[in-house]
Amino acid sequence: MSDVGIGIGPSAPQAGAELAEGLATPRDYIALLKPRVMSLVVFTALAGLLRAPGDLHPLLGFTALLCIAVGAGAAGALNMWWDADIDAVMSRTRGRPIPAGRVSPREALAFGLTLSAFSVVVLGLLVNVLAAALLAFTIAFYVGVYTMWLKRTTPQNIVIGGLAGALPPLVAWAAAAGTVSLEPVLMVAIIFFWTPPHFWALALFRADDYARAGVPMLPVVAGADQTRLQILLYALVLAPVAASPALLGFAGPVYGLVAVLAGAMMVRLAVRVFRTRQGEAAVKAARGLFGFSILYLFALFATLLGEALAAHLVEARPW
Amino acid sequence: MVTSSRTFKPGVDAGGEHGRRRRPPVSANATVRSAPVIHLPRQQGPEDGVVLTPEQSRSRRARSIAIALVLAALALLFYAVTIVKLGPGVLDRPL
Repeated sequence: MSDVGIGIGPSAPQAGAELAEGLATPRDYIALLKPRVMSLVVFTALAGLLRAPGDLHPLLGFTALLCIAVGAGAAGALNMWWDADIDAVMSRTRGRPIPAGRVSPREALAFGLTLSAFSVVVLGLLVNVLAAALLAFTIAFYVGVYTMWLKRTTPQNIVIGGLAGALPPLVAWAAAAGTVSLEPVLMVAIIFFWTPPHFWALALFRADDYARAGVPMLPVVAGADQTRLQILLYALVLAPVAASPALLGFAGPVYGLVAVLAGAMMVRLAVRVFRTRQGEAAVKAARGLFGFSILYLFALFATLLGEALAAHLVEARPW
Repeated sequence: MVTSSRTFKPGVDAGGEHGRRRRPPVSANATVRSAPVIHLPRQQGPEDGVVLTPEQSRSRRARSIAIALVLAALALLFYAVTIVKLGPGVLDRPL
């Protein structure tokens, strides 16, 4: 179809399937926003928003979250536009709207650019310029640095590119406080160091998919054993980084306990991945780490969120 | 008056594979350069122009409704944020 070849991706990929013109539904456009990734972004951003000092009006807080969510979704849509050729050959992604032919690449590009601009401008006008600038940087980094540059060129793609996924708490903090400080930077660091073991665990049991798509993920380029070592090293760094908000006095003892216990479990599972290298047990170990890593990040930020909510409640009713 | 020797055949188009029928595209540049005047048929039958399949019509309607809802929600949000930013003090000033 004529729509498909319009400057998408490095090799102007065909989207894989003939475009079913005019059949896109709102659900397809929502899928372009990567709602599951967006939910993680909203969750971590909410923690940043509620932990920040200042008395941002709840409606402005909601507006900031909405803009961050839409900005993240827009970056996801631009990622799908650029990576349509990769998505078409990977089993995990071939059902996405562009490779499935329900949305044309041109429509996805227009959708992503419009929402990117809109989310940044609205955040700048309604909340503050610092948050808008950070959101613009996040979108540009995810699309320009990770998607267009790193993803196809280096096995360190998700390490460096992970910064984009780590920034939402900082953007939300800036929206609420108007400044940035060490505490949101620690939140960013937690997500940043969480990203490699999470995605490399996935890549261990999806290596064939990535190899077929030509994406130089670490297991494809350096092999599974090197990946297992890197996972373990990152898990060993992640556990103390995750505990640091409690150690530095930003978070309470409940968070400290959760961070230590869950961090120990994360390291234990990483050790199991490192030591179990053959057969179905190795796949099971990688899947186990991948699944627990999601739970781990959720537990950390849920506890941060819970502590912030408790503090707000005590502040509202000092009985 | 110069008229184009090319006549339109309404409803015929290569895009018919998806049930869509279009007029042949008219290049604006070509029209300006050679200055032909194209007479479109005054009376067009129901089969002229883009004819969507029922499935395409349903999808378009769903998209239109979604856009309308989003725009309405945004208008409401901007109104509410404006009120919040103005604050209660806006009503408390000398006439």
